Amino acid sequence: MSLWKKLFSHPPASETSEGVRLQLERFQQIVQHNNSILARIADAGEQLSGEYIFDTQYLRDLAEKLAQDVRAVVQALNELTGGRYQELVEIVSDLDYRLRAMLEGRTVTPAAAVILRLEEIGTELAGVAGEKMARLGELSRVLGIPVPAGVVVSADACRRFLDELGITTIVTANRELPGEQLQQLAGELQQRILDARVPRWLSRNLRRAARKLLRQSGAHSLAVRSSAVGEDGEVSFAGQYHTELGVSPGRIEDAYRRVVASLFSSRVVEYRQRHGLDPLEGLMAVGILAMVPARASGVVYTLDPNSPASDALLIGAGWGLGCSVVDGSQSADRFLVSRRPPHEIVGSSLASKEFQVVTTPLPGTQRQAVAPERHQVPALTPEQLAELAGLALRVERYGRCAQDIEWALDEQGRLLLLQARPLRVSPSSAASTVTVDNERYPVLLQGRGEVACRGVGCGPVWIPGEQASLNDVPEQAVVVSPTATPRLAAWLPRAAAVVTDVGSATGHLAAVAREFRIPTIVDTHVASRVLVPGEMVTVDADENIVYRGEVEELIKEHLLQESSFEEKREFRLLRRMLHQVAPLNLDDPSSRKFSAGNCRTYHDVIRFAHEMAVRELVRGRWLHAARAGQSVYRLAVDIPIDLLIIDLGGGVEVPPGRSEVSLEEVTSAPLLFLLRGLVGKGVWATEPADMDLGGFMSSATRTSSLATPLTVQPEQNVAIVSTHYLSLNLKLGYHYNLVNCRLADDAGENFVYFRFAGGVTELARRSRRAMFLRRVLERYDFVVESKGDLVIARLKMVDGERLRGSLEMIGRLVGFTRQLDIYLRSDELVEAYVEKFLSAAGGTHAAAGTDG
Amino acid sequence: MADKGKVLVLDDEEIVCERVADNLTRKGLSVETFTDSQQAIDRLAGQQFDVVVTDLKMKGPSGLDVVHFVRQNQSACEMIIITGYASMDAAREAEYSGVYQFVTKPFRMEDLSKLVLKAARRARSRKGKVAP
Repeated sequence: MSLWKKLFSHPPASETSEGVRLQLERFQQIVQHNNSILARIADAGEQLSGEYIFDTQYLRDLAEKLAQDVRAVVQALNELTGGRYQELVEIVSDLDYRLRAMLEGRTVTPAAAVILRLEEIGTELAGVAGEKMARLGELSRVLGIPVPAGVVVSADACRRFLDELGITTIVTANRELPGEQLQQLAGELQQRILDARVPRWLSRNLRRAARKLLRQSGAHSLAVRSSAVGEDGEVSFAGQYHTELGVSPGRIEDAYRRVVASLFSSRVVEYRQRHGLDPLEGLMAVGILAMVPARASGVVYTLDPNSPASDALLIGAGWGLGCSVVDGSQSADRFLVSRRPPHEIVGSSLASKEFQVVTTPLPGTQRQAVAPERHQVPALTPEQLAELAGLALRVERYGRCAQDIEWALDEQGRLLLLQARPLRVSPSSAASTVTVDNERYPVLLQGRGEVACRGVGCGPVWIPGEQASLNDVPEQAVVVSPTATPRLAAWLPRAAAVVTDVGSATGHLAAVAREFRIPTIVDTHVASRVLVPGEMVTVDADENIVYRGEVEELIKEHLLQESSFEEKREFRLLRRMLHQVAPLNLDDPSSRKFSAGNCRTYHDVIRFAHEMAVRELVRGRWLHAARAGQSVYRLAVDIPIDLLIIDLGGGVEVPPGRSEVSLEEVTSAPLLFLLRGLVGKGVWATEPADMDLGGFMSSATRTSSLATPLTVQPEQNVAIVSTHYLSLNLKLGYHYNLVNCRLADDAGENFVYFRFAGGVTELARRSRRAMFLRRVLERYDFVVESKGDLVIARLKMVDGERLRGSLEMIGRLVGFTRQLDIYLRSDELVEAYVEKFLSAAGGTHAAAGTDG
Repeated sequence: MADKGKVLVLDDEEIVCERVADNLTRKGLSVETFTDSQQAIDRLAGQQFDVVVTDLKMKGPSGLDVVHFVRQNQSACEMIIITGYASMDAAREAEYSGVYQFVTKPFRMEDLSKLVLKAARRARSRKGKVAP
């Protein structure tokens, strides 16, 4: 007996109708809080654009309101399911604790492995690998810049080490100590670390990593470098922590201890205090790098701090290891090198370099005399200077602010970067305002559209074609696009700036632009027609102007000012907070990882809770007791989809007592538009598909239970709706469709999630259909992931009108693809069906197979 | 760039002062910032401004105190209040009568600079009338 029959053949007991109402209310609460959390996350992301002014109070409120809402979701879920997900209460408490700790200036680090490989690290792991190593890993991984081979001992390992030494407890108990006693305590803690035995779990890992690194790199010894968590940005900690060079594997534990102990050195404690950080609460990740037996080394400043307006990089260089140049103990050659290719030398002063520090075969370093004939020889040739300038400027472009870089030239003459961090240059005057000469640099666009991410970028215009791929994007181009398709997101890291004809500052592209800090202007309506491919332009997304040519004054001013807002404590804090809140790790409900225990962020928690709530409602026994015409209805349409509608409020308008609802009576906007697409003329092919033998055999041996399981496999097709909300589980033959959507006029909270899986034929054909879906959905700007026959597509933060169109398209797509796998006998047919679907999209809709 | 007006910005959070000042300076306004409300009042006692942009809740004298001080001492000066609350209690709002505009944090920088420019123009034309 179908659920439908069961439902209406058992009149509900009066005592259960109250229960039904309560359950629906709880579900409604989950949906409402869910929406409000997503809107808050989107809003917080928008703050990072630089367009807004916010303060610490905003961050506190954000943390508090998010925690409140997420707790409400978890509570409602537990009420709905009889307390099945108590585990989430703990998880939310822990996340809340972390956010608050961040706000109080305390250092928190996510759980992580003891040893991380440098090539796997990027700035997103700054909380685990420390800022310094995270940045170095990113340079190597993203820009392919040569860096020494290395690993990082995680900040979490440091936390465990300090916990085991009892230091965490002492720090917590003594947070309020006055200055002098604080220094004394810090000294004691430092000694405690230096005297401690490194625990076995740690020493084993350290030694193994060190030996492996030496074996693989061929180096004789190691550099052990500090990489404290939270030392980036405004508070640079430059030179505050300990670094040890020329370390052998046998001495790795000593070096590790000394680097960790430098967390409590008197100057660090004082420095932290001065910058408003908890003086004792630091955590140290430690980089272990293959020692570069440097022939020469030194530093590069991508702007000359003494004369930032000049057009030159400042390079300091000496013989041997860089320590003497960096700490200034030895005079070094100074070169001023033009920022423009071919990077000619515009000034230099050569020092008499009488000593150098070198690595010794017995692991260690040694100061030795330089042969007299080399005292006055420049430590780098003009070619090497030019190469170094090129590397440094790539780092600057990527980092979007002037850089302070340590480099080394190895014995083979190869340049490697050892460290890069934002260069603090005080602009000559905060009020310096560049006046752009409009005759020299004509204004091409002004005040058009919306700034999605502030900043200044310059490069040749590049307009991607329909089929453009990542490899086609010229590095540092100004990407100009008629659409704001999420496809652009993948190209952003290579772009100098982005200008689009459509889109919004709250859209997905804008969010990604902010993440990569790419100056972006959207919704200009005309950019792709006004800007000419190949032409050099400067995008000033601070003032919303695009100039023809390279407006150097503006670019330079921006490099100097960048640190004035994005490196501010509040911005860094918000970025770190969002990292704990916004990423969605639980995306596929059918995955084994989709569990309460795997929720790592607030977004994970609410996604999980929503999914479990839907399951509860669709499968719940209480549904059997629902009274027809009260909250549960059957959809009466001409196509055989047998859909049950659970109305949370405002989703249908039906006279009392009726149990059937017509399409006209559906008032839930997302369901209405989806259904319009689904029942559209010609969408629903009714004739049996012409199945060939291969498809037939596969079909004959395939049963429903063999089909890729959908999260919820309802006995009945069910739509849970309210005015703006839809959660739809639809099984059509062997195809499972899941749609979650919020659709209102305000773009901020709008989203649609579409998941499609299953099919009747062998995997090759089902995969072709997945390919078909992917192509179509991407043309509608969805972010799509597919694997085998599974397709997951998402679109968020689009305005109501556009989302209505997207839902109608999904409705058509669901109908169109019902039997499509049967027809997709070859890969070539995929494209033909894509075109068929898209060309029908504007007018008459064709069903799959009717002429195929 | 011509001086379009003299603005005092008061907020106990440094980031607000810095960013507002940076933006308004770019628009051709001359800006002084204060994170301490008493110091701001001291400055207002000795220097005329066209616009005062002030936070409401601060240590020491509150935004309301600043409003009263400006009302008594700089009649032509326009005031813009930054608040952390989306809606202000109507009764309280009455206390701020004469305030040019209320802005809720977080706010769009562009919106604030437009308001300040407009307020500065009003203040200047009023001063022009007062002292021809």
